[in-house]
Amino acid sequence: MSSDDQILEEFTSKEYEHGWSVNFEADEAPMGLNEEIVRFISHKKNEPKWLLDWRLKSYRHWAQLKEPKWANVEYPKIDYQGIKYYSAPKKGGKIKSLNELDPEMIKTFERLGISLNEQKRLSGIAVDAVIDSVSVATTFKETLSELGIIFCSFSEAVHEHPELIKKYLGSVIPAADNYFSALNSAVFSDGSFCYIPKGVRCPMELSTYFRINAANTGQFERTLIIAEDDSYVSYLEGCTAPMRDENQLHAAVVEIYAAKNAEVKYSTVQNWYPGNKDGTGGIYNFVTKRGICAGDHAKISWTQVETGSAVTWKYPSCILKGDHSVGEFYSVAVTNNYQQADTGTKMIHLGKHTKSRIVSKGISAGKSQNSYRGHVKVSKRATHSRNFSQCDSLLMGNQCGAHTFPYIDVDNSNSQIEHEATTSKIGEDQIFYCKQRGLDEESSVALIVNGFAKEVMNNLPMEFAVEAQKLLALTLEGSVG
Amino acid sequence: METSVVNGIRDVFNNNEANYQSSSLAHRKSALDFVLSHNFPDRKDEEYKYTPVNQILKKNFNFKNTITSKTTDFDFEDYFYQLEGNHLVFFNGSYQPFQSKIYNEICCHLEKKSNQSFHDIFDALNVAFYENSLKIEVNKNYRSQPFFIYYFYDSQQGQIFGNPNIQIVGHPDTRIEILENTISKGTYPVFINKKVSVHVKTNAEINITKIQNYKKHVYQIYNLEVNQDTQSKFNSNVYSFAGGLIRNNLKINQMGENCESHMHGLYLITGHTHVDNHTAVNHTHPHSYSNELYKGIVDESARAVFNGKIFVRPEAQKTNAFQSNQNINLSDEASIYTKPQLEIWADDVKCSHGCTVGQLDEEALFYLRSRGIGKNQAKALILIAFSEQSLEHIPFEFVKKEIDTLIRKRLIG
Repeated sequence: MSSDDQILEEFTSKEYEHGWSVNFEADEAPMGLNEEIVRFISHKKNEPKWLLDWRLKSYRHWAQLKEPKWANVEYPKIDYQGIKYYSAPKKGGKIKSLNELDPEMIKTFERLGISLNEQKRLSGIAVDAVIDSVSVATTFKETLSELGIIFCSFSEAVHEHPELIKKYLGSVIPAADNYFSALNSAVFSDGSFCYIPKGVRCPMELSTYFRINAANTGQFERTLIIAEDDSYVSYLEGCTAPMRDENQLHAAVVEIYAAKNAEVKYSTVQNWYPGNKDGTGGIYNFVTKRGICAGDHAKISWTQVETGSAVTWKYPSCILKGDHSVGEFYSVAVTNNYQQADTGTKMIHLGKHTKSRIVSKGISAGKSQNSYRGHVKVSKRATHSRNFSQCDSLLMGNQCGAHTFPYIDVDNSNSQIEHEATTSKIGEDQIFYCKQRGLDEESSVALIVNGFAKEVMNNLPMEFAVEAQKLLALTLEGSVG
Repeated sequence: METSVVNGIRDVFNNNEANYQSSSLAHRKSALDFVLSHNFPDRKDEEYKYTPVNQILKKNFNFKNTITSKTTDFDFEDYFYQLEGNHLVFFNGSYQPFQSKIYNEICCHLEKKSNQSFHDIFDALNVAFYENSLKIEVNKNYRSQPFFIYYFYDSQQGQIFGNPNIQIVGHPDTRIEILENTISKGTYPVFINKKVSVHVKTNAEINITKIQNYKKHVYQIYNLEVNQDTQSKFNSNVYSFAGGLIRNNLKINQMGENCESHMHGLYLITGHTHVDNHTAVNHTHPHSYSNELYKGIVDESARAVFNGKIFVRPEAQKTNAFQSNQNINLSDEASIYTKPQLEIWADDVKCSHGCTVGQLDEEALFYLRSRGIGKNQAKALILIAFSEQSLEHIPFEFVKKEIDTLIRKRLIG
C-alpha cells in the first residue's frame, strides 16, 4: 500500500516528466522529403550503394502510396514536407570510448535515468542510446562481443556486417509492406542492430533508448534483431520526447528473425510525449513491428506498455512459420486526456502445431479512445494450431471509448481458436473495499488498475516492471472523480 | 460499375418502368442513379471483405438475362403451414395479395409508391426496383395472428431478380410474430435483394424467424433494419442451411430506454455454401440490453463469415450487451472468418464478447463411443446438442420441430 501511495505522491503535480529539451548542436537536413533528401541521408551516413538503392526504391514506392485511413484514430493531415528527416547531435557520431562523448549528452541520459557509464552500472544492461534517430552510445560492447554477440548501432552494422544486413534487412517487413514502413525504409537514420550467434544465451538484457530532442524533426529508427539457432535474447526499448506544441512523427520499424529453437523477448515501455491536457502536441507513433519464427520451435514474445503518444498505431506481429513455433503478445495500453491508441497484434499461423497467445488490457480515461485490433490467421497448412486471445477494457469516465476489432480467419479443421473480451468500469464495491481499508480513492484506483494489468506486467523484465507501474499510475493521474 | 452491368440494370429498369407508379418514379430514378454510380462491394470493402458480392454476381448472375414472368405452375397453398394465421405470398419478389390467405385484413397493406430512404447500394437497388411493398401494421392493443411469409421464386424460364420489400410496424402494446420461408423452383440463378424495415414502438414486441434453405444457385442479400422505442423488445432468429450466397445484414437501433434485443442464429452448411451474418446493435439510451448468439457448423468447402458490432454510445449507461459466436469446423476445405466487434463510449456498462473456432470435442466423442455408440452417431449427437441451443427462442413449436428435422437430416443423413 505504502508503495502505491509513494508512486502517486511522487508524481503529483507533475505533467510529463521527460518534457525538457537540451540544446545540442545538431546536424540537420533541410525540411521536406524528396530523392535528394534520401541521398543526403545516405551520404551523411557514408552508406554503400546497395543501401542507397534500397532507400530510393522504398522512397519511390512510398511516393505512390496513400496514407492509410482504416485505423480508428483521427488526426489532422500530416504535412510530410514540413518535417526534417535527419537530425543528429553534432558531437555524436563515432566515438571510441565514453570519455569522448559530449558531456551534455551524458547528462541528458543521466536525467533520463540511464547511465551510459559502464563502471557505475550494477544491474548489467547493455544500452544503445538513440537521440533524434542517431545512435550515440552503446555500452558493454566488449563483454558481449566475447560471446560473439553483435550489438551496435545500425549504421555501424552496415559498415561492419554488411552481409548480415543485406540478408535480413527488409526480410520480415519488406519496404513496401505499408505506408509507414516504406517511409521508414527511405529515410531511416539509425537504430539498433543485434545478432545472437548459434547456441548463445545473451547474459544480459539488451536495451535501446530512444529520445526525440530537436524540434520539427521526425524520428525514423530501425531495429533488426537476429537470433540464430538455439539462442536467447531479451530486448528492451524505451522512449521519451520533449514537450512541444506541434505534433512530431515517429515511424519506426522493428524486425525480428528467430531461427530454430531461438527465443526473442521484446519489451517496450512506450512513453513518448502524449500532448497536454487539451490535446495539443504529442507524438504520432506509427510503428511497424514484426517478428518471424522462421525455424521450428522458435518463440517470439512481445510485451508492451503503451502510455505515451498522442496517436498510436502499432501492431507488433508474429509470423509463425516454423512448426511448433510460439508467438506471444502481452499489452497494456493506457490512454488519457485526448490520446488515441489503435494497437493490437497479428498472429499468422503457417507452421504445424503453432501456438499463439494474446493478452491485451486497455484502459481509457479522460476523453481518449483506445482500440484493440487483432488478426489471428490460421492457414490451411497450420494444422493443430492453437490461439487464445483475451482483450479486456477498463473505462474510466463516460467521455472515453474502448473498441475491439478482432479478426479471426480459420482455414483448417483441427485448430482451436478462442477469443474473449470484456468491457467494464472499476466497480464501486472494489473502491469501497479499498477505501474501507484506509486507501484514498486515487491510490485505490492505482491499485486496482495495477491488478488489472498484472498479467502483462508479470512478463516485463524487473527493471521495466517498476517503471511501468509508476507510469500507469502517472498516466491515470487525475482521471478519477 | 462496369458498362455491361450498368446496361443490364438499366434494361431491367426500363422494362419495369410501366409497372411503377408515376408519382414515385423520380425517387426510384434517384435510387437507380445511386446504384449506378457505385460498385457492388468487393474484397477492398471492409464490410464485404470476405463476401465479395461483385465477383460472386459477376460469375453467376447477369441482369441482362433476367425475365419477369407472372405465370407459374406453383400451387402456393400447398406450401402453407396448416395453422391459423396470415399466409402471405411473395412471388419473384413482389407481394401477391390475391394469392395470400389473410386472417387479419386490417394489418396487411399493399403500398405501390416508393419513398423509402436508402443508405447503401443494395438498399438503393431495392428501392429502385421493388414492385410493391407489404406493410404489416398492428394497432395498439390489437391481437393479431402470426404472419407466415412465403417467398416463391420460379426460375424455370430464366434468371430472376427479386426485390421483396416489407415494412413492419408494431404499435404500442402489441406483439407480432413473423416466420419467413423461401421456396424456389427452376435451375436458373436467382438474385434476391430483400429489404425489411421494422419499427417496434413503446412496449411492443416483434419476433422474426427466418429459415434460409435455398438452392445452390440462389444468391441472397437481406437488409433488415430495426428501430426500437422505449421498453420494446425485438427478437431475431435466423437458420441458414444452404444457398449460393446468404448475406444477412441486421441493424438494430435502440432509440429509447429499457430496450431489449435478442439475436440468435444457426448456420449448418456444406458444399460451397457461403453464409455471412453481419449484425450491428446501436445502444443509445440507458438501461438497454442486447444478447447475441450465433452458432455454426461448417463442412466441406463451405464458408462462414460472422461480424457482430455492438455500439454503446456515451448516454447508454447501465447497458448490458453480450455477444457470442461459436463455430465447429469439420473440414480442411472449409473456412471461418469471424470478427466480434465492440465499440464502447460509456463507462458504467457490462459488455462482453467471445468467439471460438474449434472441432468436435475428442473427449466427448470418446465418452460416447466407450458406451457403445457408433462413431457417426456419436458425432451427430454432439453436433445436435451444439446446434439445438439456438432453437430455444423460436416462438412456434412446429417451427422448432421443422428446424430440428432439418438439423437431424443434415447431420445424421
